[in-house]
Amino acid sequence: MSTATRTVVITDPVGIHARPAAEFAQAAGSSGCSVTISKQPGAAGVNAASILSVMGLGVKGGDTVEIVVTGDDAENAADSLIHTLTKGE
Amino acid sequence: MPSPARRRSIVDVAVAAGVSTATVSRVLSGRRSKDDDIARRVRRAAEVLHYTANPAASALRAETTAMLGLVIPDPPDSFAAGFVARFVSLAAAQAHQVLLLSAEGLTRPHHGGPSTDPGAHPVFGQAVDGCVMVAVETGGADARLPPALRSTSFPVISAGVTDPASAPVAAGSVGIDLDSTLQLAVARLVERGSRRIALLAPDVESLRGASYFVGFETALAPVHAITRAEWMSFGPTDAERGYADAARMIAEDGDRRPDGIVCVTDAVADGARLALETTMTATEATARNRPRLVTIADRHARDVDGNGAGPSERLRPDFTRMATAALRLLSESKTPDGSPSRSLLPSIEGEEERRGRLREPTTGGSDTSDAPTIAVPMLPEWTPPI
Repeated sequence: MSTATRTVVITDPVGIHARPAAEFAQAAGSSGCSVTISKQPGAAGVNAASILSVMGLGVKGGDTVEIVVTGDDAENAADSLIHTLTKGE
Repeated sequence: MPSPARRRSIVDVAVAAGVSTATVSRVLSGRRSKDDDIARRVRRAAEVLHYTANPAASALRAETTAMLGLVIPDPPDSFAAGFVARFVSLAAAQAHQVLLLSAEGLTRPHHGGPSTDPGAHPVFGQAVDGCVMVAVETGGADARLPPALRSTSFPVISAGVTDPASAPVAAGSVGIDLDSTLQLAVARLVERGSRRIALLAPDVESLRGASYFVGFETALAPVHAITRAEWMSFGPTDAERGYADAARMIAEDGDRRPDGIVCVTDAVADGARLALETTMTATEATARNRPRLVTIADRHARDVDGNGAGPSERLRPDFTRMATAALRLLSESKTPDGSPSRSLLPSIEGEEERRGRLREPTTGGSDTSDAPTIAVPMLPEWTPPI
């Protein structure tokens, strides 16, 4: 069991809208790890597997988000989730 | 001449296009489906004048809310994730906003009251013009409508089921046309030289599993393909199961080994692919002997490609057509109390969809044997092997 933390700047001008939120939440839910996402590094995160929680963050273009992944193979899962979050931009 | 700073109105567009304001309204709302010179003039005038309709004002005038509800499992499964993305953007193109709700949230007690009060969920009331409930992937008995959606003043439809009989009790449903999907998958294998075809299907206990069994057998005969009882397996849709079943099948010799495998879900296909790569000897694993795979996918292509899963022979849900069909059904459906739909969505021409009626009334609500169903074929996604 390990923990991995990543931060990324959301470059999509409309932020994390329905499509990326849905894909990110699905990826987080199927990663086998516990994943949280927050809008400010260091702040308490919300459950990244919940699309409603992710959209509720109201992440806009230019915001920095932090994801914290806990579980087996957390490093790889974190890299994969960052890829999911940024690939459509 | 209006000052440049003034917000342009529908009257300005009507004057510029030489039509009535009613025509401008119909064209820009999509309720006028003809794409003729008038429609083009109106759109051009609106573009030049930077005019966009105000959805809230339009909704007030039409006594609608310009809001649609979308109930999803949260965390979303792979189908819900794909459907949400397309539905939200297509609804936005028709000047509708989407209120996302978790299926679990609809069954939780609210404001201290019981959760079984029909239509009493505070989120709804008169807040939406229609609602789509995305069914969970397994379908079946757990796909029933929550009590909060059983007696509403707006139409409720379901999306995502593969067997109309397992659709939640609703005014209509949009699902995947499983029969045509299996026909496409089998035909693809036969085109590439396979004839002895196996199926790695979902759990046979589910309605979905039974539908796979019937659809697969039906798909084989027209293309002169064959199967055997031991080549049809039913079980969990994960990679471990895909690996175990594929390894068992390819351990056989000659005619007892399938030369084509239809896998349900990407995870099962990943397992089967691994079995082919690791359990066949180099001599056996020539292109000629190696069974070919077709996946009835449940993920977006780029997810699979991004994970380096190799060449794709996949059929994936056509989320665009399913979301389009869901929007159309909402505008055509009646509310549970029998009044016409309040949603003013333009009708969209459908193609190749299989339309029907629920074969059997389902339990837990009003008789829905007349509820329309639309079954959408999956999209073939063939890429050459590397």
